[in-house]
Amino acid sequence: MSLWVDKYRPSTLAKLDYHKEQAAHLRKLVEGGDFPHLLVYGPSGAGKKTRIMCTLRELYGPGVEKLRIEQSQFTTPSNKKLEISTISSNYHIEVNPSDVGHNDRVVIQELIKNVAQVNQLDTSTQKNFKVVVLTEVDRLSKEAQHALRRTMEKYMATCRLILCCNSTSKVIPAIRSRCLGLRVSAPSVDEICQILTTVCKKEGLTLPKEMAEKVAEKSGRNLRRALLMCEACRVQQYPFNPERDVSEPDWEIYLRETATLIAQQQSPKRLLEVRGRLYELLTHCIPPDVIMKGLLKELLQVCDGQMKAEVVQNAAYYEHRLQQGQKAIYHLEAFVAKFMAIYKRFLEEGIADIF
Amino acid sequence: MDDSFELEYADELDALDIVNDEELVPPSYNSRPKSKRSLQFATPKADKNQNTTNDATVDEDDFRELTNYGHTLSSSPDLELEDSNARNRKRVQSSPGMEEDEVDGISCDDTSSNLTSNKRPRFSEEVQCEKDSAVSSVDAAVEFIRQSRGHKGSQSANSAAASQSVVKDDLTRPKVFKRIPRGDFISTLGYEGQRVYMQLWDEDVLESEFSSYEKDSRPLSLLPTPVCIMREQIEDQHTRKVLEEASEVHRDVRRQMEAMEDDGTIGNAVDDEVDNLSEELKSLWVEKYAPRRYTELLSEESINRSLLHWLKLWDYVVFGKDVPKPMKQGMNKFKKDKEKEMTAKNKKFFSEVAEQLDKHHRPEQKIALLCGPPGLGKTTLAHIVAKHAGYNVVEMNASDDRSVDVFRNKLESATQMKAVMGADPKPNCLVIDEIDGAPSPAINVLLNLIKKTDKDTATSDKKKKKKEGDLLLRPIICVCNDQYVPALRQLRQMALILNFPQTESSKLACRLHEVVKVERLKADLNALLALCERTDNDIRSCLNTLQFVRQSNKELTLRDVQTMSVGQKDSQKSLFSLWNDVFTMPRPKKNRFLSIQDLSEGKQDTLQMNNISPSARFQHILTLCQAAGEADRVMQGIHENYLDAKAKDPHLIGLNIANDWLCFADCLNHYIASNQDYSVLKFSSFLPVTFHFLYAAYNPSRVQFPHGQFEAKQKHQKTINLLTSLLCDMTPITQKFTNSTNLTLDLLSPMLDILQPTLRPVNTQLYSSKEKEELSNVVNIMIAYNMTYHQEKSPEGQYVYALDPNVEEVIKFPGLKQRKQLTYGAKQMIAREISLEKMRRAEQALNKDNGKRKVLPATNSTPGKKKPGPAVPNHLQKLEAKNIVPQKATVNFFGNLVRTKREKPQTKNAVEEEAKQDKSKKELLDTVIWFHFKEGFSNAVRRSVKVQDLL
Repeated sequence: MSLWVDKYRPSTLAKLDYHKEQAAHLRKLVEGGDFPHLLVYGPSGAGKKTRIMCTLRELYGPGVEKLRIEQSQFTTPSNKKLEISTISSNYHIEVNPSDVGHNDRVVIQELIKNVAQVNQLDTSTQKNFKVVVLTEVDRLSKEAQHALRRTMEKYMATCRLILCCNSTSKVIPAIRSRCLGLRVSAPSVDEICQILTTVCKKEGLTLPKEMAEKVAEKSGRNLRRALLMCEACRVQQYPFNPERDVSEPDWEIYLRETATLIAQQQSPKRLLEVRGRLYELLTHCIPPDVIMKGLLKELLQVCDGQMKAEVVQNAAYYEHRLQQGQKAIYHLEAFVAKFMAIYKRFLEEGIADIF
Repeated sequence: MDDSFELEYADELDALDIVNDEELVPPSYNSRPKSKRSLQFATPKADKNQNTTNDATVDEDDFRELTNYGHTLSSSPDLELEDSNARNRKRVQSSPGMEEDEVDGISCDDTSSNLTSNKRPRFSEEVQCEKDSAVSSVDAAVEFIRQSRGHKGSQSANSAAASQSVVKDDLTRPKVFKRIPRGDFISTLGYEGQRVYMQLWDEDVLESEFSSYEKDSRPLSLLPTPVCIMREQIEDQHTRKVLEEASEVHRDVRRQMEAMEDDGTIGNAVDDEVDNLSEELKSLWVEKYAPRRYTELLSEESINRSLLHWLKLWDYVVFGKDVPKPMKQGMNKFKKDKEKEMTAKNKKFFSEVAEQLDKHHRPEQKIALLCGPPGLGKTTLAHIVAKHAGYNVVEMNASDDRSVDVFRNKLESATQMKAVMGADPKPNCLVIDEIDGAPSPAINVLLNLIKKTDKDTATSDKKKKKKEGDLLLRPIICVCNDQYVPALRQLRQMALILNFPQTESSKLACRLHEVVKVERLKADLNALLALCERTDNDIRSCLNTLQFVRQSNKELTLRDVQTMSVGQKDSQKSLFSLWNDVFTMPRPKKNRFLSIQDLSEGKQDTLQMNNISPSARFQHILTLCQAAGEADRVMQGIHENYLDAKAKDPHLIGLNIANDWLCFADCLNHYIASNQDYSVLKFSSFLPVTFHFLYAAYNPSRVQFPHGQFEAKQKHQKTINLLTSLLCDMTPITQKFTNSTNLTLDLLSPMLDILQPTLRPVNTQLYSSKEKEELSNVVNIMIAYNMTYHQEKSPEGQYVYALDPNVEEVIKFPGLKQRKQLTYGAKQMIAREISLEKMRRAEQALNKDNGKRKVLPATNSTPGKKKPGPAVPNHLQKLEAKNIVPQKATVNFFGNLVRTKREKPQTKNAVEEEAKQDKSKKELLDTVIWFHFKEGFSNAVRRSVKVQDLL
């Protein structure tokens, strides 16, 4: 008994609900014996990790589901001790190297070396390689990525890598070319509806179709969120009432309110207010690019046709700057200021046209 | 030969032609037809029989006789005409740019006449060569130069007349020529059917002619100059007069003052010391003109008195005199009187010096701390006052070693020893200079010395006599620039702090003037005042500058001071003042020191405006920032304050520029940090400059210290910590599928809803099976995600259950509606269920472990010996009963059946293996005395009870 998300997570490739063709490809890969390095990418909540886990199970059998958490220690060349927690089974090890910040290079090299230096004991029944799963590869530092590319080739005999990330844009081409890219796109609204209905059926609940659609829409094609929302609705009120609003996360509401504030008034004073709210969002660990995206989405709704292009262009510009910079607040604020200027000009022109 | 000759002398000959023309027909200018007629004889019926004899005819003519050219022309007119024609044509070809007026050609400009005078000799030379080649060329040249000069004189006279005539009747000058004129022309037929030529004039030439004509003509207005110009002139005259008078007065005053100085009316203490100029250049003026006596001090009177008063409070301890009683042995009467007066005053006005003495009759404040910017005379004051009060000054400064040991040594020797040599041994007074640079351990030594004495006196009277030696019985004066150095924090609490204000400019300038006079450097008071201002009244800097000037020249003018870059310190200002400067528009500072020369030259405006001109503002802010360093902090301060600044920015353009700059600076910082490339750090100083130009105002709002970013960072760190603590103890399978981003964005918010089912506030026993299921679901989820409820005491004194880790804080935003909360009872129940469930699981895990190790305890049962199982921890081992007791279904304390897991060894193999192991053990055990402790074991009292038995 646990959350529906965990409870009804498919454990084998055969049980996957969508992207079945891709699942078939994966199975063929496994059966073929020569398993390549994988680079799994796609938006959050699309089922990347689920697929990785299913693939591993396909490779090694149910033994991979016996997981344990281990703390590994590494020492940097400058004698600094690093500690990182890994999740591993007998056949694979999963680690998020970006947890250790800019020392991720050491972790990657040492970890893969450790894993690859030990051969599988019983190669007759098992595969003759282990798997290292690296998550959030897009947050890896450049030097870590460069360190990875040689390591990948060197230990090919005993070790395969499965890299997992949201976007490949921050993965260096050298690594992309060494891996088989596997894009896991977000499930469509229909697929989500389907899954919600089946889950509810298994739970012994009846989910009205409108309700399922509503939840799927709200979730933004994020299956994890959809399931959680659905379960939250179920806890709050059962039987489901399609008229009732699906509760959203607080940060989304907060972000929307912020956008409204920006659209209401354009002045330095308001910018100061907005800054406070941006800080609030940032301190709640909402990633700055998510904030930028959310703001843009909300702000575009008040924009006129030709203004949209300009706003989007500026948003892209400041988002890029954001990635290059250090402190997100400057860039978010700069975008807000820019929007204010554009919007104000637009309003003034509108008034001038009236007279 | 001919061609070149013609080419070279074309101008000349042309000019001559025209002279002839004019002289030939002077009246003909008035009437055009007549002039034409006069030129009639030169018809264009040119024969082609030109020969060298033509040259000969010309040779024959003296240049002086050229006036008779006309007559000679009559002899061979055709040839001559032909010649000139050819010349003209040539000339047009060779130098079309050199257009010359047909008429003004006579008064051709200097360059051309020079040209002719230079060239003529050669021409004549040739001529001479043909005539008689015996004459030396040099002589001929000289002669012809002379001739040409003479000719030129007549020519210029001629030209003057001609030009006059031209001016008079310019419009009537010949427009029609019989000959082909120079330049462009049109040919046409005259009245009588003869061919005439009209010259085509260039537009420029005409225009310049018109303008020159206009110049000479009388203006249209009645007065020769307009009224406004006249007025200006009058004013100009007036101001000049005034300025002259002023400078006269100024000069008079200076003369008088100099006279006075020479008379020696202004007496001076240091006057007598200076005799020789060469000698004086050897020593630094700063040393030389340092005050020698208390009365010569330049620092503020109140400060001086406070310090002196404080020092006098030590009199009882040091000299054994009564404090208020003025003293002293080696002092003159005048000083005594003054002393009295001062102490009296002191008591009235300066309460900061604590009057009361402690047990040992020492003043409350054991040390004095003088602080202020450099060059105000702090050290000098300390020395003078200490000397004045009858002490022997011992100085320690930054140049000394200030390690703890050395510091202590010095401190003790200075405060406890006394000079025995010398006729009049004085007690020591320690002056610690530049204490803000001392390491904090050294300062702690000083602190201890001060504190220790206090403690000793408090603890025991007996020891007092013995410890008396350790007491601080001598005054210590500390000098520092920055009193807020962290190391000085504690010291400040027990010190008399004397903050040095800036010396008054006038006072300082007066002193400088005295110095200058002695040193025979010419400098007026104005310049000195300006110098004081330049250096922020830094006495040392002023004197050094003056000495520097004296080395090179004998005068210091106001201009020097203003243009000099000497005397400027690379002073670091506080961040606050920097931020203030960024947001404040500088007010035009009136330059108080204007010299008369500047006034007369009208430089008044530039001098007045120079501190508010954009470039000056730019430079000012830029230098400030570069001096301040801490680019990141500066940027933060600006970022937090710029939105409060009052600036007119209706289109938010400035706002965008500002933000772009912030982004740029941020990217720069990131680049520096990631690449360790500090060469681009210099660009960060330009950010404040931009903000200054965008947001500077005359009345800026108060600058707030930036803590927004810091607070945000702290909060962020707190959230991260919460998430990490949540993540690290999750069950592996849940941890695998979550990360912190997922948690905040998707998971936590709905999960908290899920974790709050409606639970009836009754005992769990009474729950229906469905409710139980719900409850167990919640418990399972919470365990899987490593959450529980934790009792806390709220600030109001109520007990509440809060999530632990409190992830609610992670997802809660201010201003949004509160999440529905479970009741206290429900939370309590859940918390209890969670802990029970955790225990159950732990038990299960333990059972599993025990099951695995089942064999081990059994094998231990070999009698008489107890071999510790290698894997079983010590505490478990103790609790296990031995096999000595016969295995029955045991009953525990409460009479319940207890299953024991120990079983007898079943397998033979196991026994045999054990036996083998035992043998080796035995060997080991036989060697030494083996003592087995059996006593005190009682199954009835100690027994392992499993949690599951109690549940």
